[in-house]
Amino acid sequence: MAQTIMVVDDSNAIRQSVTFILRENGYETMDAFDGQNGLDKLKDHKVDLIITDVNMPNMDGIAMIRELRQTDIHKFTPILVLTTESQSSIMQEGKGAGATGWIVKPFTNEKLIATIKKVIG
Amino acid sequence: MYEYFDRRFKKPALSLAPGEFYATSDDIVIDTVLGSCVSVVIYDPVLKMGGMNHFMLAETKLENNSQSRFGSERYGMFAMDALIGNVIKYGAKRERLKAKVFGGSRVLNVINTMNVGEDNIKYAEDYLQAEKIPIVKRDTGGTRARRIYFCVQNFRVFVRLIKSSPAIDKYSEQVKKRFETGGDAVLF
Repeated sequence: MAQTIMVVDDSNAIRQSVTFILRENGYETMDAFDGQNGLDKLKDHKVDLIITDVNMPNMDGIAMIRELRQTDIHKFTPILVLTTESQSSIMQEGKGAGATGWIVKPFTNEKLIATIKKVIG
Repeated sequence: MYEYFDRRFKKPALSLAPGEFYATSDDIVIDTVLGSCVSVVIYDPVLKMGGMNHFMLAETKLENNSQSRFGSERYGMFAMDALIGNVIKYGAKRERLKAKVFGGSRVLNVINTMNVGEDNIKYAEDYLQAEKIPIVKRDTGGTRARRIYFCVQNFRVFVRLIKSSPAIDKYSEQVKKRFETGGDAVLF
């Protein structure tokens, strides 16, 4: 059975490109347009991995991770941050919130898939 | 990217190189030189802050396969994503954002015969339409290169047509390499 990955990004183009790459590599996908939307969709839905941007309206990616880590269902769900932010202070903030890993945009398809495989096999 | 003081505007200024972007709420001027490359200026009129990028799609564009969709377009996609993401980080609201598009000329002596400029303009306009960000001004196409000056605090952009040079359209090897290899991935 295919693994399911939730993609949270406020950019339609990035959401579409990431979900396209994931589907081409055999994953099922869900998506959300900001942190709050992601939180709503993940409330009762278990997924194998969450990929999230940081800078988004309404609720940013790091705040969403903090909220998700408070829930029983996503306490241990792997979460990768996919962002243009590369400052170590923000990365540490993400790590502290409970992120599993950090990928700096621009990403290549190969690097994205390789990182996902490291995390969820 | 380098900083200087612009005597004409009497403001601190910052000059963008290809592949770069900058967003701020400071009262500065952001400038860049465009041949077939495109710059998009994004602005939140309530916060009086905004930013600008400078990008060009890859030179080859294949149809109907993943390399086309996420290879050549990657340059533009990340340039737009980085700019909008940074403007939002400063507190701008997506629904308030407005855009201006510049560049994309058919300069002489370009590296190949394709109209890279038109592709760049179309990509920027399609992206902004998909993101529902209205374009309130465009100065695109033609055969002359441009130097543009974006005054962040009032969203005014001044355009100066300049003599073209093939060097204007050359991405630095560093920028190309960055896009070819991608950013870093770290597992905590």
